[in-house]
Amino acid sequence: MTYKRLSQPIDKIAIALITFLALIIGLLLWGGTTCDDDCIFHPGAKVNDFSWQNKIIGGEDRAFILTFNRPIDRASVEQNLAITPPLPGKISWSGLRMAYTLETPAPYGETYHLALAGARDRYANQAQQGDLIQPFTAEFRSRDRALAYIGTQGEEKGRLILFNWTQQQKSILTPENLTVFDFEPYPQREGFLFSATDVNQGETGIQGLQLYTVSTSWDIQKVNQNNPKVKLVLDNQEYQNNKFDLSQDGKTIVVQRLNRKNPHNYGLWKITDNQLAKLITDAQTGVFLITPDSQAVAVAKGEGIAVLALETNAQPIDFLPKFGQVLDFTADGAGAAMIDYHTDNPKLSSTQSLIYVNNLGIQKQLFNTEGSIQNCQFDPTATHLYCWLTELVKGDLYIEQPYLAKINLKTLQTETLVKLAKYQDSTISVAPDGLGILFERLGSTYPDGSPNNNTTTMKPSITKSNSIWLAIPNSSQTNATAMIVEQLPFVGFRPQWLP
Amino acid sequence: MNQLHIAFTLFLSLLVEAIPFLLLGVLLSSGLLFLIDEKQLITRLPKNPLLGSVVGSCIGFLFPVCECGNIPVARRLLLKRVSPSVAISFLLAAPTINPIVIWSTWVAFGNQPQIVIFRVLFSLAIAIIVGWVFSTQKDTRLLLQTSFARRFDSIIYSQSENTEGKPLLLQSGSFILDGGQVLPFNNSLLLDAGQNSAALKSKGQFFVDNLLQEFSELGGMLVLGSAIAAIIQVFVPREFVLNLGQDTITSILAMMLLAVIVSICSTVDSFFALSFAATFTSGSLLAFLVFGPTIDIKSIGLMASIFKPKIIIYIFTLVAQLTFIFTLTYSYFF
Repeated sequence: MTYKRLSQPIDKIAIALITFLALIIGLLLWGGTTCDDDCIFHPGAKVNDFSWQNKIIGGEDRAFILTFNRPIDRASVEQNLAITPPLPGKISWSGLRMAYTLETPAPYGETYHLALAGARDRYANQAQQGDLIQPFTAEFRSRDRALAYIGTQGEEKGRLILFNWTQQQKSILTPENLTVFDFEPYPQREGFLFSATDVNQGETGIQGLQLYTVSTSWDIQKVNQNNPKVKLVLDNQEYQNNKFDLSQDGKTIVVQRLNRKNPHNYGLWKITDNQLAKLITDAQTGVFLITPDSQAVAVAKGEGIAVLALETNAQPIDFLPKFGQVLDFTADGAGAAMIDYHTDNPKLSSTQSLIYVNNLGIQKQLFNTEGSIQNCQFDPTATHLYCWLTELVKGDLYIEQPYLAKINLKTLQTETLVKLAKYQDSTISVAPDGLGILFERLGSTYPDGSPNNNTTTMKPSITKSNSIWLAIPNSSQTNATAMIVEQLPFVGFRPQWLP
Repeated sequence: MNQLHIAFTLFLSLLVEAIPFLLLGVLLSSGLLFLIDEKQLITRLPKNPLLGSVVGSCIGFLFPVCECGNIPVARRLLLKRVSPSVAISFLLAAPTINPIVIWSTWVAFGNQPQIVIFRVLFSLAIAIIVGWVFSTQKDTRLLLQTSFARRFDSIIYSQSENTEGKPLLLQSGSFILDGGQVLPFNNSLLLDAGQNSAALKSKGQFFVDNLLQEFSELGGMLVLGSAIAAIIQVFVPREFVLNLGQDTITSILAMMLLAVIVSICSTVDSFFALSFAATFTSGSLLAFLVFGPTIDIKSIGLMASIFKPKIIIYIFTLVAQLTFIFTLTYSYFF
């Protein structure tokens, strides 16, 4: 009877297939239990994805994510995760994903190895110890440490020079006929935006400034070919191009321009996606800086700072009446360093204050001086602010003595890194990996007034031109126990680290 | 008392979730009665059993219904004399291989695209394999549940009789007299409107009649299925099932068991599965997402209205085995 009931073709094939599938299941289960490391598959847990695998990371890359393929014993991962050379960081979990946030940016020019072995999987309410995870190793690199400056000697004169510190390679990026005035690197190191005068056009000085881009290649073989492409972005036919700023996303350029025929026609222009320049505002504006979100520009306007959206005929999004200038934004845009010139208070009008403002509405006075605040830049972790400040030397003559200071934003403690004898225009460039500060010095003077209790290693300056210096403050971040100030073997000005 | 309350809540929530889809399925099924010409449908569908299964698996793109709504449509396809391989692969694939479910899975698992991709691939493969297995059975009636097979017979019979032009009253079967008109008893849902021009009812009336009958019949099964699912969920709590998952293999089995018990609709099951993403393997989540839409307690009742119990056992076993094989292999490699 039973046989008859199961005599249809469907019964035969279904039962045969069910038996066959049961055999396959048996094989799979047997394979899973007997499989060792040399198997084509790993039955235990493993790392499914590592977000920095073979990636070249920059200062803006602050966290990687490890994704596991099943529930994992978190403590065992935290204990067994090893990065060499070490990169201190904090671990946080979300489901099967572990995020590792670096405390400080990874030092540039290094190859890092990540290894995870000995961790175990873990299921809910699991009584015994879980299976061992498949050992995982991976590699990632940080960008080559590199700096750029405008040369002042020999064939480098007036040209943009790129020095790859890690590879110890120098290359001249711009042609001889262009005299570079200022430059900014693109955020992903694709190239530089620079202003320069063309010797062939005969106009020198600020009136002859045109904006160009130059591409850079980080492939060593291509660098050796040394064939950077220079492209004109903005000419000076109708307008004189005074200053420019490049947004952090590298997509927008803001230029302060003046009509060459009508000096009252003055304003801020923006260039996006290689389109023609468009006027943002025709108001008289001073120093300006694009906000880190690349959506607005902070402009000194009248007796305050206006934040204008990057659009034609922009209306102010915000107006900060108290401040006279924005010096720098933190990388995440949450904070800014500003100068208060005390124009509203006659008693204090001879002084300037450095104010830290953040998006929680906190305003903190960091510093008050009778001298001047020249230039400031946040360090990558936004815990310190590095500034060129001047000290008013008491006497008959009005003498300002510049010095480079490191200001702790929490404790407000100020430390002098370098003191210069004479006033000069000072630039500052804080390394994206926190290594140190690049600055230029005029003439052949020696650094004086080095901070007490700090050893200063110096090589004598032998040139009479601008020389480029590096200050490495003592900090846990750089593992430097004592501050180092050293002259680098370059002659030029506007030294800048590449992002 | 409290447990009764919980069971009632679960029962109602299952019903509320499923009834709109059942209604949609019944509407589609009643629509098919008029819209699709049987001869054209049969000539257009591929004769090859494997191709038939592939086509059947993809019909879900036209009828985006979940596992409650696809049963009336599958019934209608069988009554339209579509081969069982097409109907069964449609039955198994339609709840997953349709735009709404793929989209909702993507919304839930967008950061793990492999789950979305493998859910579709595994469901498709299972539907095609099981559909192809059923293509070996030439006599469709032997697959069907007795009362449904009788209806199936009567259609074939009434069609062949009608072509001979016999008066309706002289055909075999039970008939009633309604206001002087002759109507086959309880068979409105089986007849084809195109061939039933002899019937005096308007097409609209016919559509509504079919709709009501199918809905009441399948709705009854759904109520029963939901009640059983709710009771089991009270006596076998989710925590108990989840605690069964202690390694790769048991976690797949636990999630398959959970899928059967919770009987959650395929349109929303991805969000339910997402809540286990941190505690279960992605292979076991896939098992839940592949197995759940094809087999669950709630829809077994509905399937019982079409197929013989042994056929349901075959389908259930094959789908369960294939799901386990696919998802365990996935676990080993991903």
